[in-house]
Amino acid sequence: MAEDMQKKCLELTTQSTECRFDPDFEAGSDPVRFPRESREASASNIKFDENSGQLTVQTVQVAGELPNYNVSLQLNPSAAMRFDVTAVSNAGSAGDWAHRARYFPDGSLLYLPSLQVLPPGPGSNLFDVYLQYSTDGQQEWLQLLEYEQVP
Amino acid sequence: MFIQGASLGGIVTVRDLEAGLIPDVAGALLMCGASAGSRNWYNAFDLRTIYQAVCQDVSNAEMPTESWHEIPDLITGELQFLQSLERCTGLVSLNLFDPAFVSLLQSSAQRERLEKILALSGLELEFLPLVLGYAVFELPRLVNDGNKLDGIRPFSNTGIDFGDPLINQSITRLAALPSSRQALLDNYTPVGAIGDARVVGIHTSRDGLGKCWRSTCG
Repeated sequence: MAEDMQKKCLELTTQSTECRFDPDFEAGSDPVRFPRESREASASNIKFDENSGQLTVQTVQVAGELPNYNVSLQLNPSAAMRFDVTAVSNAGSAGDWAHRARYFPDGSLLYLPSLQVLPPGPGSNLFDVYLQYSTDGQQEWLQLLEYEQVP
Repeated sequence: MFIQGASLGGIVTVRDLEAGLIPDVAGALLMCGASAGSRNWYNAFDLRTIYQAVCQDVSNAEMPTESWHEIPDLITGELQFLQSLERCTGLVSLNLFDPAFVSLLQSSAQRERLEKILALSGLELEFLPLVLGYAVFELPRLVNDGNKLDGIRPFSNTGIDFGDPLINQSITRLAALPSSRQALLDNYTPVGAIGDARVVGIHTSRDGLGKCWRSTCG
């Protein structure tokens, strides 16, 4: 039957690629799936010390640029979920691509993959963390937007 | 009772099954159903960014908008889309003329770029213009429309290894808030909770538009 349909299709069209009735077709175990099932491990070293409130990021890359930076932040005790920028230093240029912390100027979003919370508690202490950069011209800080636990 | 749906109607059918909106459904027929749900949009988003990375050095091969979330102008946008696709890959000619003739017109660089886009995206040649068209013209409407995602940007590819060092380095990288990703998935991604209903899905061979995902592949 598929053979007949293919033959008829080829008679009716000038584009042979439109005829896809395959008499030898077998439903296999490999349908077309999404390739993006998993992600690479983070190449950044990101730690948040709950006792001191210090958050250190080694290294972060600005989206679309090559240089890497190391960043230190300090949790502001008088502002909810606000981290003040205490130090930024150049950490050289990125070589090959890696999944790492990234700052997106469009949206002022800082993405911190697999942030490690110290001291470690029960279960996973790794989190993907999303913060938004703000400044009033004198101070610079990052406001926690959302986070999710890394399984 | 049996229900059926084609294309977008396929995911509506699955949603109806999972939500129990229609009583006593014995079975459903999905014809080229977009049964992976909103995850299908990742397919379009990835193709847009892959195209941009592969074709970025080709003169006048830019898509009609600089950013993936901008809505192109009517008519001029469609014309530029076709011209750019042709300049980068020669694909428009491939669709218009006899392949043997086009092979004389298509440069080796165009052929290489086309093959690279297909390899990276996992698409068949026939589906490339269609999926890229969705990416360029429909995706911006999905994220901008007040009745849809209303400005939410749900696409993330920061941790994805595309398997090509140059593409990994040059492709546009984005991160999305978990709540934004969830908003897209909520509208609507099936989980396979169809009870005792039987579902038959039929697709074009190697369907590149309605791909499947996990529970929808079985």
